[in-house]
Amino acid sequence: MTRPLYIFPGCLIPTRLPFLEAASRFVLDRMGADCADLPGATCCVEPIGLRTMARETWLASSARLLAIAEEGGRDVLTLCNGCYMSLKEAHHALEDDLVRRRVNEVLGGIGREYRGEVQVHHLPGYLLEHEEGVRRLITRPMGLRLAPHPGCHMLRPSEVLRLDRSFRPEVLDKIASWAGATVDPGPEWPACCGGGLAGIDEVLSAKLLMDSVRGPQASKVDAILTPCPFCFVQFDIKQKEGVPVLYLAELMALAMGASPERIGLRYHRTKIALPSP
Amino acid sequence: MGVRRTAYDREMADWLGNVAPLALLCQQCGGCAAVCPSQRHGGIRPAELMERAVSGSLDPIRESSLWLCARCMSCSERCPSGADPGEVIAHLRERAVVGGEVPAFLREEAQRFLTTGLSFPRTGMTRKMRKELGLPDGEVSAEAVAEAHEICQRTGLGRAVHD
Repeated sequence: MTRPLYIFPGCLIPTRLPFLEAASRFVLDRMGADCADLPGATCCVEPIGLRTMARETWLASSARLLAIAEEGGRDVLTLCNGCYMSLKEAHHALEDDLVRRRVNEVLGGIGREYRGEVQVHHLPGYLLEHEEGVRRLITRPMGLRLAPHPGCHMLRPSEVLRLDRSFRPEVLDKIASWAGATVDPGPEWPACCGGGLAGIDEVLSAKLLMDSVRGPQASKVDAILTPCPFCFVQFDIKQKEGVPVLYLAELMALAMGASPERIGLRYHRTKIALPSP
Repeated sequence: MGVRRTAYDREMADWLGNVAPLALLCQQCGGCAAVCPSQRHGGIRPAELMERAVSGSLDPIRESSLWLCARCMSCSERCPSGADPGEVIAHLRERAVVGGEVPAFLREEAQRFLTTGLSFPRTGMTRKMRKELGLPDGEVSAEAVAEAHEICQRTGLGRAVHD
């Protein structure tokens, strides 16, 4: 049985995309998950830019979050691919006694210690583990055709994240099918949305984005499906081709009977046409 | 194209051997180059960087292409030698940061993390949307910010943005 959870929404979702948080909370609530908010949460140390500036800062900051969860006796549930990668990689690195000792010396300075007794889950993985419970809650099958976009850090590095395979991933497709959606076969090696280059090289970022939109655009899907808020921003705000995007929890919330108003679908820049109930 | 081997830098090669010993496993198969979405559009060139890094002919401070990695981790996932180009690139970035070279966007993000505990700014719009959606306010507590700040001071990010 899954232990009780701390929800860790990260910083992109709560600041810019709170409607994705609303959808996630709706789904977890319907599932009857024992969830609380992680006390003293900060950014996980964003893994694309910030983490590469100072590895030890990332490791100690992530360790601090894991230590807080450990103290509260709950596992961590992330809503964002970036947070998942940050915390899961830190969790992995901290399995090494020498690394943990070194990091605990830093944490000692703020009166904390990490012992290594907490697990990190990502929303898609959590849904996958609770297939029966999720399926039972589907009251409004969503007859949409979707293009799966798992996003890099749901998949890679696969030996650390252990959520889905990196070649022909299948987890998103499976979950979406429970919600009544049809999922087009995605690329064998899922593309990068270019979000990691936004703010650094907008032209290059846009070219990567275009690479990942071309397939869904050509196959005329109703929307792109992603579990990652960084990818969501790229598709919903930066994309010029007009293919709508759905965040995984939005799809599940709608299929579990949430009204579009309740989960803030109106905040999407690229509007999505939903099948009539 | 060939790889230039000028300015052989022993100290750089030693440093890389210490922080990313796996880099030395690179066999120059080019698998990373084939799968890199940035290289496809003239951005970073992971295989070339690996060669130049391990041979010590790369100066991270002057190598602006280091910042054109989207960190998709495809290179490391595909690497048959376990040389982990993605992580080597991260280490090279860190070396550039220590040398004072950081893109403005990331310096700003680092400063925001140090002062607010978040990588993205909370705005009036954030508060308005959260209220409309019936979500808790979600402010980062002052204690949490202070702890994050203290960690930054002890581990490198603090130094990187205060010079």
